[in-house]
Amino acid sequence: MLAIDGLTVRFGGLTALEDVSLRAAEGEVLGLIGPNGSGKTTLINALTGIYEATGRVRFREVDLLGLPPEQIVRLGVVRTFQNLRVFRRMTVLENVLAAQNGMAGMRFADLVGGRRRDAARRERAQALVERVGLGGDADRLAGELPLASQRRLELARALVRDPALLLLDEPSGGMTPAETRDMTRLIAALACPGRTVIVVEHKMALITGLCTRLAVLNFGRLIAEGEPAEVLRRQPVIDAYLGTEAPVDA
Amino acid sequence: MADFLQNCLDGIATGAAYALLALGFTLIFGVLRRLNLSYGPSIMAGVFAGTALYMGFNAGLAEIAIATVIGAVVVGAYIERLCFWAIRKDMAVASMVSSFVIWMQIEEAVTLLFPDRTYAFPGILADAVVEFGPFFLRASSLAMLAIAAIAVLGLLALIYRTHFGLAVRAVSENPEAARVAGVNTGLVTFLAFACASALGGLAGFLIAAGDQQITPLFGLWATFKGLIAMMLGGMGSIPGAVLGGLLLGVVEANALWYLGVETRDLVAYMLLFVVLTFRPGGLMGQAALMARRAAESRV
Repeated sequence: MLAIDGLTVRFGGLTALEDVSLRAAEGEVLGLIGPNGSGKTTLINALTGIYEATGRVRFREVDLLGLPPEQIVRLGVVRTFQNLRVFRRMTVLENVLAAQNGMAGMRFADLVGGRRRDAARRERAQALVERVGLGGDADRLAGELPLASQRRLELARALVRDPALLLLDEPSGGMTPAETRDMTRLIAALACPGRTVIVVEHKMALITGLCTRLAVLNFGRLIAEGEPAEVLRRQPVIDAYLGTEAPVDA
Repeated sequence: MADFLQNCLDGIATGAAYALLALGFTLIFGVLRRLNLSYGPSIMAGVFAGTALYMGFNAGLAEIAIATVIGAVVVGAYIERLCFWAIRKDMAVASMVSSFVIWMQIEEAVTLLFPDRTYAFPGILADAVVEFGPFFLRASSLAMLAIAAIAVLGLLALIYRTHFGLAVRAVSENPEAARVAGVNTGLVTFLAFACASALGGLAGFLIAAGDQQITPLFGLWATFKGLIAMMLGGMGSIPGAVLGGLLLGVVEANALWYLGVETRDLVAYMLLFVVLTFRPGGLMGQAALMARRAAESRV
């Protein structure tokens, strides 16, 4: 469902991502790993229209490159951020509601009125807030939540769009081992036939517990791809992590 | 004391119109983080559209009000496309400078179309006076206050009760996150700009109807009053814009009474100076500024 061919991202003279080709099948959970600065977040930024890139990205017969971010979101490619981007001055529920803008079947009149549709939206947002375990915090300001809860909120905000391709950028970043376990379980519950998840992570506990396949980036190039346990034993992968940052056993 | 209270009453009526101008600025600044110096001139152009209808067709008040609002929205949309939509987001100064250039263009265009300095504008309930015990208020001021209050409540409802308002708040707070959450930031920005212009058009109509005249210099005046009121209240704060507008109106009315017309504007600038010295974010802006800084330091 996702086919990346020769994806290259350059910032002036710096090549952040070079000739990356990668496939993701329907319903799989693909782990994207690599040392810091290897281009993982760059790849997600290129897929979601935030960075300009060359090459070819096909998602369900649509070329993503060159589309503006909001349009890519509407196609069902939704992401979360490594450094959180929740709307801090809105409540948890409002954060999720705001992400329902411009969805298919929404008309201009819905923006200002439409009580019945509004109630349906609210119900849906509430259900998702509860699903990620924030039911008790629905009316709190997002900025007041602890980090782990803000990550859960970002997940709910992404889910409200019913993504076919969910891109998670370090969903357990800054979390304690217990919180990481909860997050892993939550993500595992989200993967379903018809939804592909690509997750960028450092923590091996999350990667091995979750991913059906791994792709490894180093210096902007794809150096390995395959079944997790096997990929992690390959010499280039071990070399890439040596002297930079070993995969964390947490 | 009675004088002071009477001045405050007059000041609140004028301040209500300032508050509308400040709200327009706030809305634009909120979603774009950029200043639109042409805001006043776009309102002035709208008021001249109303004047044209008044002089040419002897239209009624409602038609003139609608023409003023539509005129302001059309010119506002022109400014948005030219100075904000067409210029990249990270070049805030370029937008501001080009909005200044468009200001000159609008003023020249209006001066060419309306070569006399001053044009008549119909008043609302022109000479009637309403008395409250020892105090009194011109009926037109009372109407101004009432209409402004309704407009402010309407805006608050739009921002805090509708899905469109949610999108406006999302874009104001974090444009990038809003885009990635699927909000069409371009459309939301454009519509917010149009709302601000409509609000400005209404303010322009109320002020021109109060003065019963209009000159091309009204653009300069409206930009100044709106900017001062917004900065007093706090950049980007909606309650701050209302507070700043009312405060500016009250202080000006008292300065006019006790010190005379020459010093009125001086007092307004002094007020701004003092407020910004002690609260650099404006009266209500501090909290918003702090929250933003805290958020930035986290990332």
